[in-house]
Amino acid sequence: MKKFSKWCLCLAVALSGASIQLQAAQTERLLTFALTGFRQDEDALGNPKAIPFRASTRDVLEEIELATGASVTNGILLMVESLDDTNAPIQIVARKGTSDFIVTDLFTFTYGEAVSTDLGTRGTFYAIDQIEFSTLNVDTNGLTLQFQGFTKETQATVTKRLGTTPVEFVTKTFNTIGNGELRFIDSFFGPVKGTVKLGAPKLVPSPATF
Amino acid sequence: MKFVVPVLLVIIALGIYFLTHPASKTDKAGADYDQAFSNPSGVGLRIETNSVRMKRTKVELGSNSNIKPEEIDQQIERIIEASAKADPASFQLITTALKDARPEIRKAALEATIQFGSRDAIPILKEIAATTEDVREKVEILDAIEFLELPSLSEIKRPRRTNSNPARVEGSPK
Repeated sequence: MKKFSKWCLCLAVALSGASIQLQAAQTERLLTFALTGFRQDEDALGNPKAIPFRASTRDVLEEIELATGASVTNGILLMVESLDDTNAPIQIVARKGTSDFIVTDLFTFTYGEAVSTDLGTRGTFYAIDQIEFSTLNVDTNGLTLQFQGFTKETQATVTKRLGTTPVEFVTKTFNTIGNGELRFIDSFFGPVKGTVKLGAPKLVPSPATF
Repeated sequence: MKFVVPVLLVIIALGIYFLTHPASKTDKAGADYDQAFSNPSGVGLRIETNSVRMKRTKVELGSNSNIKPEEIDQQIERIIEASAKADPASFQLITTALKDARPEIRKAALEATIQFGSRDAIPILKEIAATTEDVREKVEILDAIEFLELPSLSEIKRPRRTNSNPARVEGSPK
């Protein structure tokens, strides 16, 4: 009986080990902006006056709506889809429920070189990254946000279930604090500072395999 | 070896007792609350009362601490989804979560409040900031208030196209 139990245990371990697939899991992460800045205005006497403002993801989505004509302002989340072992976006979408509006072309992510602390299954990375959001390619009345920030990214390898299949993937937090500029095609709108975040990754089914 | 089984039984029994008697924690908070009100000098009464209220809330909500991590993830997901909407029910969901006992839920709710962008959240945030003991959390709440007080990019629209101040480049204004 004991021998039988041992064999059962070995078989179970072998089966569960084999079912952890060596595939690149695709993840999606919530992209959020929380920025404050100043724009130029003037007082009643015509003297220059800097007026503060804030810009969040809602404002970014509103700009997308103005530029593309697509209705993307109510209940829409900006999601970045990428492979779990890279930050490079495969696709960026404005998502409501199951319907996606692809906005990849409006964003550019440039990742700087990083220094890191690697503790085996956990790591922390520090780098200067650049994020650009521009609607000028689709709307001459659009705007451009050029943002550069100091990024702290933490990564940890975990095993999660994708349906019934356990998949090993890298969970991350990505937080960039910095500053940038808002511009129209022919003029400056104002300097901004704040945070751009990528939320914790959520596994999505992916056809990509090694 | 003889004692192993009885000792284990005692530990299990104690574990069951403490799990099924969360009220005892609330009673302790209640005693703190009574003590705060019985302060004869009245000095620092307001601060103590606030801190006790926070403790009580946390203990009462904390009785749900057997919630699984997946459930916390699901709740955070609901909060994130609500942050993109603009209806009163979503606002209610987010502001209720601001008072949750679990820090990860409160953190998600604070970020959602910023993204939701309603100035109606400011009085609620001020009230929470007044009762929050954690300095870091308090600063984050105050930052959120400062953020929400500003006009949004969409609100200020596009006042002028050529709106930069040339004085910055050409020379400082006198």
